[in-house]
Amino acid sequence: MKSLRWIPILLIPLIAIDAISTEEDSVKDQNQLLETELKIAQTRHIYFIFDLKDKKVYVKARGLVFRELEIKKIRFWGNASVAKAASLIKKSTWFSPKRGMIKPRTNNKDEEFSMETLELKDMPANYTLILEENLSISVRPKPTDMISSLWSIQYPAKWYLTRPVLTVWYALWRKPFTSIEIVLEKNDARTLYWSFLEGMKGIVFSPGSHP
Amino acid sequence: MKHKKHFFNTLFILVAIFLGVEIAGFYMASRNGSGDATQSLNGKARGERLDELKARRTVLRERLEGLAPQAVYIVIDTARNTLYVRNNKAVIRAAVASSGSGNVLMEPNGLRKWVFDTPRGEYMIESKRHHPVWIKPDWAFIEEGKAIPKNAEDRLEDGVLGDYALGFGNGYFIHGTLYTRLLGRNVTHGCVRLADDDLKAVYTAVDIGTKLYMY
Repeated sequence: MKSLRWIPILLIPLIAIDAISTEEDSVKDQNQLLETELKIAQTRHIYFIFDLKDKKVYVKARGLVFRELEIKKIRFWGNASVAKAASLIKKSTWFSPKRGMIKPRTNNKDEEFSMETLELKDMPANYTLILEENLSISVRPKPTDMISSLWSIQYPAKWYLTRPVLTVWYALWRKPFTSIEIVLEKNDARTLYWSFLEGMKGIVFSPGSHP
Repeated sequence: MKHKKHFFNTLFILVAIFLGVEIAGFYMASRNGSGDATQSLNGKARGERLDELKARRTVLRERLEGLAPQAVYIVIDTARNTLYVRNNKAVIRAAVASSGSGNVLMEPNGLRKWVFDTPRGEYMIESKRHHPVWIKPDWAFIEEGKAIPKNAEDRLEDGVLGDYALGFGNGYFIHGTLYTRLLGRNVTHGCVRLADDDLKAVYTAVDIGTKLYMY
């Protein structure tokens, strides 16, 4: 029985080694994100960071954070990479907002107040951001009532049915495939749609995804 | 009966194929990683010790922080129609603004088209004007259903831009407004409108060369 007393003492170095290795990985990941971000932050453009570890989306420029959106839920599928930078190719949604056409006035009346404008409330909250290299980010609004909760049941079902098939499909063509699904507050989802324009860069930070 | 059996056989084969593809897909997804640029970075980092990695992190953070403006700068959130004057991470002033409507105007002959968006990205304050006079562009006349004047003096309109205007290029300004009740809404032709007191505060706080970020 006395010999059992030595077990915790023997375990201490193992625990310490594991802790150092975990910290090492974490610092490596952070360095990788910083290296990727530095390249983008040197340009005049606004960019996004999807931080899957801290569950945040950051709107940034020159390393400064302008807005921080909280991710309520994440699903990740595909080719893992710690800090992946990709440009937005297009925003895909069933009902994309339409720009209003201004009709030149025919009299001198002030008609500005009847003008239709494109505002945050007109943006969709359910859409997919299609980025380079077959990286897609599906954005869903957080269900707020019974109907939207019931409707959201389809998402995991669709996810687990279609993702494996798409993985095989892209593997056949020797192409990478990554799919992410994030749930945001409705207004945050709309803000992301508004702010993320085609051609903009986004970084997907997925720490712990060491090849 | 024969047809029914044939149908079930086909269905069974299709389900089996689908399940096979699903299992293959799950298996492939479970294998972590693929060749991309991040591997080389990891490879470089693999040989480094923890203290070296931390030192590199400090250097990278400092380099990133070095990219931020070293003086006061402006941030405009066009989605929420809010303008911030910031110094480093601190907000000196937040103001309700109006930004671009996103509407489109076509010239009646169809030759020219204007999209009234507020531009996005990094800009710079290029001019500061006290008691600015608006030089009406062609689209303003077209929108009003008027003929475009040949004489440059006929384009001048006083008192519509407020007391101050800050130009940030391509005819875009941060200026005042007569339509204060529309502040907080996307109603402009791309310029950014502010209330009089906010405009004065922003005008006083910034200089020519001040950075401006719009998203």
